[in-house]
Order: sequence, then C-alpha cells, then structure tokens
Amino acid sequence: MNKINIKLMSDSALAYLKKNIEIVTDKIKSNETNDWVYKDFKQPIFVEKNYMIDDIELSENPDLVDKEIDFKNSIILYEALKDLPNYILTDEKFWLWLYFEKFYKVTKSMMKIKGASTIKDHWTFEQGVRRGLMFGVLSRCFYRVALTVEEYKPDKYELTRWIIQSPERYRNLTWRSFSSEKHLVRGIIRAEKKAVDEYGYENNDFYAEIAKYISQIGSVRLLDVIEENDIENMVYNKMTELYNK
Amino acid sequence: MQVKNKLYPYPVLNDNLINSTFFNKCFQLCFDSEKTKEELKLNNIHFETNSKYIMDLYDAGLIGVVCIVECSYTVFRKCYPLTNSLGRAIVLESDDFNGKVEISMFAYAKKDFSISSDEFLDDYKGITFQIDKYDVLAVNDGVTVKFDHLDTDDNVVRSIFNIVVDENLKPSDAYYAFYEGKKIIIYLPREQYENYSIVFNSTNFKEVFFNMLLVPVLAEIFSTIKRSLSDEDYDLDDVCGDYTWFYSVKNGYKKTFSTELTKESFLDIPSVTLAQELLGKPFGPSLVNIIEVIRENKEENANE
Repeated sequence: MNKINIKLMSDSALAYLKKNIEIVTDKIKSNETNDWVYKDFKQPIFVEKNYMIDDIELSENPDLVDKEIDFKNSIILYEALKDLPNYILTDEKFWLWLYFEKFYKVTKSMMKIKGASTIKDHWTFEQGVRRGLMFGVLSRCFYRVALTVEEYKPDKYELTRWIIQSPERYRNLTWRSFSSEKHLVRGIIRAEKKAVDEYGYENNDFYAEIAKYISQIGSVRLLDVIEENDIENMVYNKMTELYNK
Repeated sequence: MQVKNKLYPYPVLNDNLINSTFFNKCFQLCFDSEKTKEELKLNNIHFETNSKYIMDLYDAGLIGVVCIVECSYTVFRKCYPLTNSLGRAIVLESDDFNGKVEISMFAYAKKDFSISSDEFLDDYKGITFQIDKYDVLAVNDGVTVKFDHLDTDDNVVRSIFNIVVDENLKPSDAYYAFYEGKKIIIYLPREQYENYSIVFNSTNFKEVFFNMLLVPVLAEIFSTIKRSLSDEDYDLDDVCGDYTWFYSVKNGYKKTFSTELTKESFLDIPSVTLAQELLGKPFGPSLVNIIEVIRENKEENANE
C-alpha cells in the first residue's frame, strides 16, 4: 500500500476554527466536499510531519448504522495509526487533519451535525483531551481497538467487536483516568461479556454501576497494580451481584 | 497520580508529613536524572524510608512499591516496580508525552493482612486495621516534569504571533489579542485581515505592520506580565509555563542582547522598548519606507 506523510492542522487554522466554530459548522453542513476549507482558512492549513502511515480508505457509514462497517473501519484505522508516537495520536491537530482533509466525507457521514456542539464535542477537544479522544468521530474508533485488542489471542478483536455492537458496554469506562491502563479495560470488558453471555440478556445500567464500582475500589486500592485476572474476577462477581439483585 | 491531602480509612505513610498518619516517617522517591531531546532517564531509581514498620512489611513480601508515571495530555499512565536498591533505571521516551508529567510512588498490599504499629499517629495507636490486597499503604506525590514538542522557529514574529480572522467582527471593529496559550493570537475582521496580508507580504511595508499591530500588543502584554511578576514566588519559568510563546521571547532576547533574560532585566527594561527590540526596531525603517512612497508620489504628481 502507498505511504503518506501525516499532517497536523496548523496553529493558526486551529485558532480560526475555534473562534469561528458556528460559521465553520454551517460550512461543513452545507458542503459535501472540503474545497471551502482551502478558501476560508489561512494557509498553511495543514503542516506535514515526517511520520508516515498507510494511505488507507474508510467506508462511509451514514449515522453509524452498520456495525460491521464500523468495526472494519475501526480496525483499519487502528492498524494504520498504531505505530505513531503517543504525542501525535493524542494531538487534537492530528485528528483535525483527518477530519478536515483526509476523511472529510466519511467523518461528515458518520455523525449527524446538529449544530456547533457536534463539532466542538466530536471533532475538537473542547471538552478536554480524554473526552476529545474517546468521543471524537474517528479517534474513538481508534481507541476502542487500542484499549481492547488482545494481541496474544487468535481472535484478537473479540472484545473490540463486542463493544462496538453496543458502545454502552465501554463508554462509561473511557472518561475515567484508569482507562489509560489497558489491562484494566480488557479485564473489565471480558468480565462484562462473560456475565452477559452467561445470563443471556443485558441491562445497560449495569455498565455505569461497574464504572462506579471500579472508581470506588480505586479510592483505597492501587488500580494500576491489580492484575488483569483479578480485576476480571472482581467485576464478574459484581456483575453477578447486579444480575441477582 | 497525586494523592495530595486525600485521607484513607486506615493509616497511610505520606512523605508529606502534613498529610501523613504515620508519625515523622518519610517515604522518599530517589533518582538522578539525565535528559535529552529523545528521553528522560531516571537512573538508580529506588525508594528509601526510615519507617521500620514499612521496611519490615516490604522485606516480608507483604507490600510492593511502584512508581506511577502519568501524563493527562497524552492519556499515558504506567506503573514501574521499585526496590530499595540502586541500579534500576526508568526511561521515559519523549514520544509518549506532551506537557506536564507526574511521577509518583506508592506502596501497596500484595495480600490481605492486618496492620498495627507504634509508628502510627496517636489517634491510630493500639488499633488493628484490616488491609485488603492492593490497598495503598504509603505514598509520595513525587515530582512533575515537562516534555514538549515545540517546532522551533528562529523567526520571532512567527514563533510568537498568529493573526486570525474573527468572522463576527465588523470591518470597522477594533482588533483584540488573546495571549494565554502557545501563541499570542490577534483577531482581525475579515476585511482588515485581507489588507494585513497584502501589507505583511510586501517587502516595503512589513515594518509598518509591525509598528501598527505587533509592537503595541506585545508591549501591553509585557506590562500585564510584569504586574504578575511582582509576586516574589512567580518567576520567568512560571511565565513560560503559563505562556508557551514566552520561550521565544527569551530566545529572541538572548539573540538581541547576547545574554539571558532574567526576571530583573525583564522588569527593568520598558515594555515598549523590549517589544521594539524583539521585533527589530521597526519604527525607523517603517518611517523611511513611508517617506519614500510620499516622495515617489510627489515626483509623479510633479511630472503630470
């Protein structure tokens, strides 16, 4: 596959975007292509960097209706970007390049733009870095895989597929700082899946309770050192308790 | 991950004595560091404590000690096991971080057991506490370090300023500046921005633009910062922490005056003078350029 250099949105373009978010939102809503970006923003809009990635394509998935396309896009994105340095992957300006240039049409299609709040909350990092990454239109696709992939297993995306089927299974974990520890996320998700498979039905309220339970444990215990099997057992026991209430 | 003054439901040794429920005991994170552009090495990283009770628990294998490194800007969080011996190094690669990084230390229970000790504060002496596996038993909030990936730009103007359109401004509205970020952003109405682009890109009138826009903005911001520096505890490192663009001011000062900018020299030099010096003293050249245009126009009128 061809390789391309990554880019970051320039500081001046970012400043223009944030200051004129309402006008930019209207332009995104009313333009199928991104030609308007090159007229309205001051040059240089994007700054090329020395890091290279595969020149991937993503499939359009209007309003994310098709879970299988969502899953495939997430894997393609993850595999293409996973070797980039962390400071690039968590940079708002990197994702804005993907949204405004590389994947403009796909990004537009994936989430209905109701107003400036959609752009603020799901294109920019207005709510902070963690929320920006975990709620960003494409960045959340990347992190869903990054936090659940089990590289050592034959079906390494089993947990990824499970959370994409129903994002509630994972969403409550992602805005808590302990979700930076991948082993904790994997252990928690695996336990949730085990319980749901065993009982044959799920209740989305349980996932919020599990996230709270982990935060409560973390008030006295050092979550980072809890082994993956231990956290899985603790969460499975808690899920059982919730099912049997 | 800093604990600060958080309280636990049982005694915890906090290296900050004010927040500790052990009497007069330390729990120190020790290392010597070596920094390059690519990495920060924490050499000989280990813990030290004068708490016999904590050391006995450690030697008996009941507790472990870890260093936690966390960077909220890159959602990085990782723990590294520590011992009380020298020889271990932790390498933090700059690719993983951006901005503030917290390096802290914890001792935690490796199994369930109970604790009771004369080292506790009086309120806790004589009481036995049940500890569960993974419970925290000692903390040190450690240190904060900084990583950045700033693209260095030798041009002072480009490294300090961004000129941006505010589409909500009317053509006759005044410009304004925002300086609490990586760069000083000056917002112009669209029409003024188009005119600025022409002036800025003209070799004859660039200095005019510097005089009209950049010198007054920079001078005003310097005056504001000087007021903050009246606080004894606030120094130029703090200014750089609050306003990343100030690194470029320091670099520009060093190039211009062949000496480092200090708090004293920054407070001494008038703000408008410093602004002009950093921008190449544009007043004189801009007057010369304007006079040349006036002369050319006079000659053209005389010839007609």
